[in-house]
Amino acid sequence: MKKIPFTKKQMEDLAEKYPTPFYIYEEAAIREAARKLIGSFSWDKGFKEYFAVKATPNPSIMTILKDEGCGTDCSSLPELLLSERTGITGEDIMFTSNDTPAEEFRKAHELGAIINLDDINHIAYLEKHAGLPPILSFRYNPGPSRQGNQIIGNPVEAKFGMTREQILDSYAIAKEKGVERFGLHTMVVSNELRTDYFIETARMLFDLAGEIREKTGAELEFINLGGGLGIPYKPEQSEVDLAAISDGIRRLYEEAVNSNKMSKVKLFMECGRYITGPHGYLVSTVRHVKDTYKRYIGLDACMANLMRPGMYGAYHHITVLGKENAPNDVECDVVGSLCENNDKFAINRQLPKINPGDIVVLHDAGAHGHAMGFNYNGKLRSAEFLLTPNGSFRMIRRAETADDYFTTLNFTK
Amino acid sequence: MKKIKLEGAITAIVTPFKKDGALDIDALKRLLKYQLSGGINGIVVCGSTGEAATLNDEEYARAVKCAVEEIGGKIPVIAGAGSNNTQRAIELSRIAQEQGVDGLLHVTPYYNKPTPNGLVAHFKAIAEAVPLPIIIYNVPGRTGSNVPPVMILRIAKEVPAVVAVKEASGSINQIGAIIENAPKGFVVLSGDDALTLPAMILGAKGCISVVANESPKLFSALCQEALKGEWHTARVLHFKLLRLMDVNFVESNPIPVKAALSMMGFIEDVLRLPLVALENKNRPEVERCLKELGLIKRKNGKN
Repeated sequence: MKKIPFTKKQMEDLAEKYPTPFYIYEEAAIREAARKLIGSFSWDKGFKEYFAVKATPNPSIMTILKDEGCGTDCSSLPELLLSERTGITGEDIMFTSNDTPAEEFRKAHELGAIINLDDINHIAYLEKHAGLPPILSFRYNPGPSRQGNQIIGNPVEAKFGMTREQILDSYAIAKEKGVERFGLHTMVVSNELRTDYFIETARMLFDLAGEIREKTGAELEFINLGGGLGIPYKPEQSEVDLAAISDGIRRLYEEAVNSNKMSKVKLFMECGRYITGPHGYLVSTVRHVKDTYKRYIGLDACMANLMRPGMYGAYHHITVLGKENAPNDVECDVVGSLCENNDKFAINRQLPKINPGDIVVLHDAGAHGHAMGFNYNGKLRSAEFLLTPNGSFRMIRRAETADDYFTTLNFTK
Repeated sequence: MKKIKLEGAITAIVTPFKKDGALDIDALKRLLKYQLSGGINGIVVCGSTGEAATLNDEEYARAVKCAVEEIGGKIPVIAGAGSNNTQRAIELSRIAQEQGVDGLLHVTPYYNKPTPNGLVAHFKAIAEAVPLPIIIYNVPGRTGSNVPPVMILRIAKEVPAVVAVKEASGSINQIGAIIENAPKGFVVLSGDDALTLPAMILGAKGCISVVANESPKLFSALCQEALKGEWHTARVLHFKLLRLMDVNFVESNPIPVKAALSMMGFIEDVLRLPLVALENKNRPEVERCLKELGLIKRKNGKN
């Protein structure tokens, strides 16, 4: 059974004031996750986690993580602006984007962020539109030498990053143009639970670091291992083994340093899901129960509130509050109200008998949940609440109103 | 003198009447239970929302007593005891005191047009006669004369029993001026539901409210969020309640709120003359607001 840090009564009280659906994030657990990640790399004094803002772009969450010593991994102008407004600037921001517009480079440069380039041609583009900063990082795509996974896909088919030849050339070009400090980045997998993947990524990057030093003379200051740490969405899955990952990386790191492949570079990560994913919950009320060729449970939340099941076929565990111990003996599809048949949170799921008015909790919605929300069918985005360590619920985003949704429209004749 | 904690949402409770016009104590009890379960922070009984002007002494005493007993000390009970006859104001205050209230709400004397010295003397006389904390009620819309901030502050200074003002002038400037210059511990309460949030941003501690009759839960949540400085949330609640706050004044208060409470099944929709029940044309809007807030059920299956 998956844990829930609030009671049915608390949700009923909250829903009376602020209608469902809404998101709840547990502050204490988010802090704990950040501490666990940073703590497991304590052998590297320079280790830093850059929280992937795209996972949960809310200043209250970002402030909590700033407090835990995290920087931000930004991928767009609004994410840069959010960081700035949360008081996160300079090299506490790493800007990794692709198909990047000039204004985003300009803002990243203005903030003093570490800019991570996705393509060799971006060196000239950045220089032209924003000027070259003293520190640059490049994103590596290993191509056929690595396998990737379901979400990111086969590296050869992935649009991100540069080939080995390009990345080596990039360091040489940047060095010639006067850039003095360098970083290296990759992101091969997403939501990965297997230890080996992360250790193999580190091995690949440490080897590449040696080649960069050898062929271009550029000395890396940091290596960003990317994110991709998975979380156990299904109850039978177990947590990623951080200690084993850290241990494996440490051995390779020491080997690389001792064999003089690279200096004692700082290691960075940019996890989002690992930090907030399991600690966010989408709370929704059952509107209708419909029996046709199947049984459908209709929620007041829909795919516009949580896109992952519809988009990736992702599993999100569902708990019916007050029926935690009832037998899961009714097979049903749990659906939203979008006019799209992939608007299903669960298909053929065994759940307790559900009635209209029941409150259901969709687990592990803390990352890429609200963040991926959209407005199709005129669906409005929900509120977000922070469950604070003192047990109160703080509204950290209000629900959208129809007026918010119409605000960009021109109604004049 | 009794201490009184004036903070948050204080409901100016209506006085329910039976169909024949008699005081309906059972209905009053129902309302008070609903208020307590909604987390309200205080009750004003027999204020202008409570049609006190139409109650005789015996009814007044019974209503006040009912409130004191039903609330049982959990939150402050304040009795409206105002009059433009100082002697009468003292009599009402004594009756309220005998029933065990925690404080008195005194409207500034209307009609007689007292001078500043007369105003001070009025409150001084009440304070000397009845040792209870007093809230001044400034409501120019009813009294016909505004008591300016300097005068409120002068009364506060010269009559220590006056611990608070219920400001219903509708002027946010005036509310700000009182708060800015108020002696330590002097409490400003909004007397307008819709001005509660702006007043609390300036430092008011809460509101003596009409809309809390209908939704004690939401209105007390609004005040609590504002007291915590959670303006973002308070704004959400403000806008959620705004339409109902406005509708409550579509006719003279408490006409709409009594109609609403009767739709909610708490009371009969009976007022005492010269007030009469809500006009039919205004009923659908009241009903719509209550439905929107889930305060009355939408008809299922019917119609």
